[in-house]
Amino acid sequence: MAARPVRLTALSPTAAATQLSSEAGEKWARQFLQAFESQLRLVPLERLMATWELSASATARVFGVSRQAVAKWRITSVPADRLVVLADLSAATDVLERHVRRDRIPAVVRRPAPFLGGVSLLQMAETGQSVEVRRRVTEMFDLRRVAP
Amino acid sequence: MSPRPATTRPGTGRSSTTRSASPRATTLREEAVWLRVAHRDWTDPLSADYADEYGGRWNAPGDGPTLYLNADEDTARAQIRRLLEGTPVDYEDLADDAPFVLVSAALPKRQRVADAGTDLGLVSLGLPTTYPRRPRGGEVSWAACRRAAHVVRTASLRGVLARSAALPFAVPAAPAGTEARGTELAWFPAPRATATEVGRRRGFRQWRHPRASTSGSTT
Repeated sequence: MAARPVRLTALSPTAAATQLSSEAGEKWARQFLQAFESQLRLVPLERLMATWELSASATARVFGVSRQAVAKWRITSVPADRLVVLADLSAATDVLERHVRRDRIPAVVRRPAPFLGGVSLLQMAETGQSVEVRRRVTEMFDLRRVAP
Repeated sequence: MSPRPATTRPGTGRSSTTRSASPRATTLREEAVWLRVAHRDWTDPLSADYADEYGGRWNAPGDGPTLYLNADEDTARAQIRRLLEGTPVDYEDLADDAPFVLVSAALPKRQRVADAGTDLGLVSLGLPTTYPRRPRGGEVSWAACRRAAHVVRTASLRGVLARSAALPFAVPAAPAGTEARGTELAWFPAPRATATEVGRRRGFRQWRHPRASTSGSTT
């Protein structure tokens, strides 16, 4: 009688890794790792697009690439040279999600504000200011500004 | 309501009714519960050291430990509204579980502070009676408040009781010592003195809106 297959996700990550390495050769394991990492890199991109309600065109403007490039990233992976921008915007998204109602975030990132020099967070992101987006969002909710 | 405390000039014991170079002092009600707006992740929200490090309206960095407290929930909410002023986030955009907590605190007994809630008190500190606004509009600067606070510290008073600058509307002058609605306290603790947390911390959901059945005042 054949043993019932074990669902990997039912195991601890360490046990799953042990099982995979006992069943797969090194080459397969390395290819798996590469594919898995690509998938993981997609998570923040998809989350950014969903939380900010960004179309493929808007996403392309944020990363300074074509719409086709974004479509390709969503199948493969975000290239390494765009990961810093993605990390900054993901960090800003983390802070927004901690403070703002999820359904209000798309409006918040599109609202021009004096605190942002009269532009919106999205406009800042589209003009390559992802570091500034991250900084300003963090500052925005820092109580020390009013009640240190 | 406790008896109204005497308002005197420090060192004189006389009632202060005229413009004076020394601050007009008042003694805080001992049973008062103060509200501290804090971030959920702050390890010690009642520490007076953070403000000393970062500075605030009534203290420049390094002036000495300072703890900023509010007399009531309306003022605490106003601090959050002020935090969001000019940002793309509206108060109503905030999530119910936003990490802003309200910490209730009691102070040691017999805290004598400078009265910046009455006209006489403001004049004694060299501040306009229109505080927190300037007579010709705009807000009284932090620099002016810090200068006044230096005088307060020199007079060995334990803080400044003032109308909150966070409130967008004019709050009527409070009788000295009553910590009326709309006031805030910048407390300058004596060495080794601490504020004591009382009751449970309240998550933002519990205080973001005024309670319908009460005035929201804790004093």
